[in-house]
Amino acid sequence: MENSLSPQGKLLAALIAVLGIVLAAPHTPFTAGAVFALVILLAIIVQVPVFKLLLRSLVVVPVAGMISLFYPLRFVASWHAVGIAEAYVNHWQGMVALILTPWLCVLVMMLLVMSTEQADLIYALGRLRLPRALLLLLSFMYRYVDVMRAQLQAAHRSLLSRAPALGPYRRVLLYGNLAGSMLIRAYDRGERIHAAMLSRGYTGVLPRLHEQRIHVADIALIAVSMLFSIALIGYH
Amino acid sequence: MHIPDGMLDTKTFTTLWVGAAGGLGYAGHWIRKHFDQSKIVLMAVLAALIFGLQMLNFPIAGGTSGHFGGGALAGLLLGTWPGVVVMAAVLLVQALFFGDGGITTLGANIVNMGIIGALVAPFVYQLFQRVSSSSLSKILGAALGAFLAVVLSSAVVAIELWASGSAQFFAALTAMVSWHTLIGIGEAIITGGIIAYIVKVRPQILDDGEQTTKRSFRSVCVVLGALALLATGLSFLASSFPDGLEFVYFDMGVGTAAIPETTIVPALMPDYVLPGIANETLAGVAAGVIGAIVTGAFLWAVISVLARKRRQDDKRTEN
Repeated sequence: MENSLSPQGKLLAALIAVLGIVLAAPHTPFTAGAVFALVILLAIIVQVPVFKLLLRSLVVVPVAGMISLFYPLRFVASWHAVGIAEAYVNHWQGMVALILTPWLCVLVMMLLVMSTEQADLIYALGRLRLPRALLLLLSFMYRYVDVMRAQLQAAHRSLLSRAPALGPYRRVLLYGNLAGSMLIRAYDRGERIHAAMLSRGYTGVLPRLHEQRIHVADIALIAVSMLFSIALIGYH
Repeated sequence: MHIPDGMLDTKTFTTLWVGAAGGLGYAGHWIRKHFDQSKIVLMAVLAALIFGLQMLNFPIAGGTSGHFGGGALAGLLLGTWPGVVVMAAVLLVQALFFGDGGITTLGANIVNMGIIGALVAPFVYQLFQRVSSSSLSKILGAALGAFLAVVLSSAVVAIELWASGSAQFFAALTAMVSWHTLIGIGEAIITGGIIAYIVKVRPQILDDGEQTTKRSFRSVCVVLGALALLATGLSFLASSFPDGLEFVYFDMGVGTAAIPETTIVPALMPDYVLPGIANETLAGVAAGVIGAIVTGAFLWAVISVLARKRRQDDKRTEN
């Protein structure tokens, strides 16, 4: 299934599903469970490791959890310990709903990311008419971010090995120099890359190695995603 | 600071999407006009670098840590509009590949961290440059700019959460601003450190950024000011404390405990849904569409006026 679907079809279906989840805000065990079950079922079909998917989706929980803490405070009748505690007791379901929606959305997006190559997703964004300059930036980030991270880690390692006794705040100051030297390298690299690209016939448009068109299976996936979203919204 | 999906209501995220799209559209136009291909490639490499630099963690308090954002740095090095595009690319990758920030809230995140970050830092830096063009003034301007960009962005996030009904205003504002004051100090130290290094090693990079900022500064101020006014107006248009999740609580039978809020102005779209549409979600979507149309029209008008003024300026220069 993974190979028969185009990345733009999968991306579109995922975006529709996320929009449906946000608009419906599934909060009952039935609807939230239905979304969860569907994502897990799809993960099993496309052979994405379910535990890893669940683990990666948890990235949103601390942020959503922190924001949800502010929600019950809207309902505080008196700003004393008892009043505040009452608001939390009466509105804990709201806090759960505020965490549930983003978590289900991230679950959908992580399923997409874990079942599709990053390069294919960037290609899919191009097919969905993302502006050319933005696409170029994404392509470069995909190409160079690992190179730069490796360089940064090497520099960081040498900083730690040469100055192991530095306190955390002094180290933060040194990060500036470290990042600054990376920046100068990036400027030089940018010039070199551009010269190399021009010498290979770059005209401002990145070439596409292979075209992937939308097929019946993609349309079916998008339709299912759309119907599921409409059903969710209609149910609520 | 990255707002996840589901935290903003339809009206707020649609309005901010239109604002971000307007800002990005103008940035694209600006870049096509002022940047050649080699500069665009440089932008792309810098975007990759900023993404890589976000692995720089710094200690905050209680054993927690913050990480480098980069919006201010992008604005300082490339100028405001190219900085906005770089940050939009970084935020898009974070939302799409890492679940850091939502898809429906990407517009909001672009406005908060991209546009505000890339506007505030160069603005403060320029103010310092007017006083003195010494190395110290450059470093202090960049550091303070980065700090203020982070703090202001966090305040705007709190306002957006409040306008969506996801948070109590003063609690969210106090918590967000105090926490991001600490994060802002880390951002300021790293940004100041980078600028100090560049001032020593290759100062002409900063001069390029300054020239770019000077050219785009007025238009950024007008567009951002217009956006802020419009967003505030829309919040009050709905109700003083709109609540996108109210139906959830009434559905669960706990909504009756809600405290009635004082309405500052009578709501045209009470609870930011359109009267006459039975389904709560569809009514919310319709309200969002109206918000988007109003924002789009407003932005279009502002950008048209700016473009006309620029044409007049160009003509005057030619004469």
